[in-house]
Amino acid sequence: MKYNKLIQATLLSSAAVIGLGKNVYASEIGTWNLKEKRMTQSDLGGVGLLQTPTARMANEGDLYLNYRDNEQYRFWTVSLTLFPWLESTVRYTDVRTLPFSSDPGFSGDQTAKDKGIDFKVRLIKESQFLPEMSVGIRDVGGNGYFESEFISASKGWGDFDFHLGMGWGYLGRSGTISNPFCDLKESFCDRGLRDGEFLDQGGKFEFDKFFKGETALFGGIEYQTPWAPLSFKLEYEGNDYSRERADQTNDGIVTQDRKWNIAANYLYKGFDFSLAYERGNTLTLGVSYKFNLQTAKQVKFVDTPYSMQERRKDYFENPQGDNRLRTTLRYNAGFALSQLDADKSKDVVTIYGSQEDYRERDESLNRIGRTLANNFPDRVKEYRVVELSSGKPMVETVINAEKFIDFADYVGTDSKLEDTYVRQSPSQESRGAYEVGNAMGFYYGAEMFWTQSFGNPEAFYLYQTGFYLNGGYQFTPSIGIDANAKVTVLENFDKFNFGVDGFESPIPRVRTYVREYVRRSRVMVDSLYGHWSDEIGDNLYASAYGGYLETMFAGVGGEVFYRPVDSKLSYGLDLNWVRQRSFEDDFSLRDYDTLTGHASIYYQMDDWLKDTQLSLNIGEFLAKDKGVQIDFAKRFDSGVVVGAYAAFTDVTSQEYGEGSFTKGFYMSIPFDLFSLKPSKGRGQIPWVPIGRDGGQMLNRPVRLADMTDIRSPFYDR
Amino acid sequence: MKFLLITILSLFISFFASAKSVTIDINGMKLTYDKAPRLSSVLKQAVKQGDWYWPSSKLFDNKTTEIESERQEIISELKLLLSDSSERQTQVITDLLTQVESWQLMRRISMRIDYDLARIKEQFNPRLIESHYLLRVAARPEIVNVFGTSHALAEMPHLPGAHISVYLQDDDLDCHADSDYVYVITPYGKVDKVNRSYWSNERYELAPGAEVYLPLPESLFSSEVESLNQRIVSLAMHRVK
Repeated sequence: MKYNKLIQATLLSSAAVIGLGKNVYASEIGTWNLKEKRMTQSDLGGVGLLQTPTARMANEGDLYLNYRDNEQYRFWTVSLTLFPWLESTVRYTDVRTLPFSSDPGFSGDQTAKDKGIDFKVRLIKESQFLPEMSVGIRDVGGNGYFESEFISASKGWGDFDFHLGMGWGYLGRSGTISNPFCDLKESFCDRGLRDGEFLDQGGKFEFDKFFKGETALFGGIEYQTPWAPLSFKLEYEGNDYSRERADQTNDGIVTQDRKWNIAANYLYKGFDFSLAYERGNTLTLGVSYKFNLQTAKQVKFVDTPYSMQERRKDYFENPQGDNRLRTTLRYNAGFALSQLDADKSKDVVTIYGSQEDYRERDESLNRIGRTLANNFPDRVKEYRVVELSSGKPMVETVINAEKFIDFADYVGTDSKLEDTYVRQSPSQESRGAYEVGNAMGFYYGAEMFWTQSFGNPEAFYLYQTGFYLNGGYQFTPSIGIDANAKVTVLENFDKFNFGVDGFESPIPRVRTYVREYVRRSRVMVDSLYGHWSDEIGDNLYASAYGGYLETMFAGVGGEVFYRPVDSKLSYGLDLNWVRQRSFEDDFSLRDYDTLTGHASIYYQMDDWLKDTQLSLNIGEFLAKDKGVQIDFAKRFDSGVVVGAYAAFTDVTSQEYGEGSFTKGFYMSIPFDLFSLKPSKGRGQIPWVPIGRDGGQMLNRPVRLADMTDIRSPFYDR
Repeated sequence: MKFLLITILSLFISFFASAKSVTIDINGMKLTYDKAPRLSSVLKQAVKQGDWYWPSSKLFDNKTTEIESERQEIISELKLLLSDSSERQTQVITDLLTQVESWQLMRRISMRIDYDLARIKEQFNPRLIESHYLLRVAARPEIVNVFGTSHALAEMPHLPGAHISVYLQDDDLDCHADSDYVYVITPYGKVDKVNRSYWSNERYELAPGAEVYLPLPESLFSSEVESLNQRIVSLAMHRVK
């Protein structure tokens, strides 16, 4: 999942984005009221004026895709309001006046690229006498072309919005005021960077520079015209462009004739077009597209769930009953049935299988319950739904039939679905009656992949796409073998002009051979291994595996994992001995081997921050470095999950190289948001600014956290 | 003797029968059902009485235990607030307290009550199983109500297309209220928190029959009063009178 510089996504993202723009407003009455202030994006991404940020925050879950273009720079940015008080922005900058490197043989005629990450945190909300105030940092992930810190205040007055900020670094370069912190402490007077000097390692949080050096005020006014689509901006800058990446040698490529910038924004069908005149000499064009991850929804063409007003109840009498139940469970309720225990003499019906279509539990249970109630007579008092994962009973939902039918028939005005069922570990009875035969034998499948990488010297965008062909044999529900072949269909990885970077690396190269692996062959063995997994105690699971475990490593390993049903906390321990695979052929191995393993903890933090999960992996990583990987994920109402992770190990940032430490972001999108039919699949779009060898984990082929996910899911609830 | 026994028995029988029956009061007209009816059949009776404006129709039942205890909690919180308030505030809180105490409450069912919807969609056509209901249907209201931290309940004509601040221009009306926000209970039972201050360009029009709650001044740094305001609004939703 967390790959190197190359980025994996199971399906494409851009083509599908359009559908997300739809929001659900029209379905609610009373929404003619215009609730919100219009937020516009700055050139560098994030809510703001042009060059400068404001204190304003967009709505929770607002995701902006932005593009800005002028003579010296192009900015591609994605800005997400993760919480009402936190905005994060990632940015690729194209410096149009500079070559990517001094060697055309290395990077052709490509111009220089940089990436950066910004954060903005709201300190106070606006009120009668106080402005909205925010504090932020810019450009912490890249080489610091635009690195700055700021404090900003915004105050509205009807259709006007006034902004005033104080900036350090790029935003404060004109030094029009004295640094207030400098008066307090000598060390704040100097930022420690000289003309023409930029950070070469990048990727670090340079805390030692924060709020130091030249300081300037900036600000501006926004005006919403009476014509709703049109608004104007006027901005006063704090930067004097004296230290500019696009004009490193001060040749007059970037000059400032005026400190005032102006712009007009025009909104058309979700697209916000902007035209700006900056520095008294530069025209900037831009477009932003916004959608909201909370409200994104998709129209579905599905069968209506069964009504309780005309139940057939004839399963036991009708010779077609069994056939009909199986079909309707699959097509109306999305439940793939693998075993049915229904006996005329008993008042309990048990079904075994898995939910394939409906990712929300309420909808899934509502449909399953209605389908069962439609088929079985009233003397059946209990429906038991045993959900399987990897052929093993994982969780059992006991539905009280009478209560459920009353709920589904809308008897009374306050019956709730959650009062009609109990989720529990599969009972002894249900386990005993489970016929393991259904979980054995051959299986096969295929899955599409899309690997992409931004900001390479050969070309800005590199991609590879094709299929993983998967097959295996299950000897018992616990023991099996599994193989994955990677078949590349389309790629431009042939543009690679080097395999391994030229840096001296003091730590073992466990991931930086990635280019060698992915370009070796169009068809390759990705994994081939035997595995065992089982429940070894109450809520306790164990697994063992051995073989070619992932693209780059082979070996043996095992895991134990503890996960009660619907518990906020689950944890486990894994240990592996692995040896690096050769990138010259499918089966030979290299000399490097290591022991790697982690204690892992998953904690759903709803009590603290709604819909979030924190995961920790503590242990020894692939390059024998020791430390912790922290992963934080937030789920939005639409089902989209956004997360970030970072690994902190005993490798120093000098040893680590560019990027300073392993970090990455990911967005998991339910395919359901784009399709007209329901589905449970998800596409993962990771973004790893730069991947090196420190803090890298083994991609274990059997992960008990995944296998037991339906016991206490975080992604789909 | 035998006669008496029969009388007692029949009394018993009628007692149990009435316990199972459902009575519904539609604008004063009383209906009794022996078997729990679907909402649509009740609304069918209402439709015979006139042409009603469904967005402002309300259905209440008599499960009031929780609501009454919520009222008592709110009253005690207001009294607590009263004990350490300034003289100016005292009057406002006392007024509010009197209002909350005087409310006649039943439990409002948070669902859209609409004859057309009830006939089309099952989920808007529940079976009514409590023993007593009150259905309020009316023609399209031509007023909006303002209550809360104002001296008296104000009833104002509804102004089509008017921004909410137009209703609140009278300084006497809201000089004790929070200066930035008001709460609106829409006729169909949704609560909106509306920013009506000078620094916002939010545009909000009241629906006919909407109720505006002028809240106690909220603090930026503590959510105590804010949550009390929200509880008062939620309680006000269950007001019959």
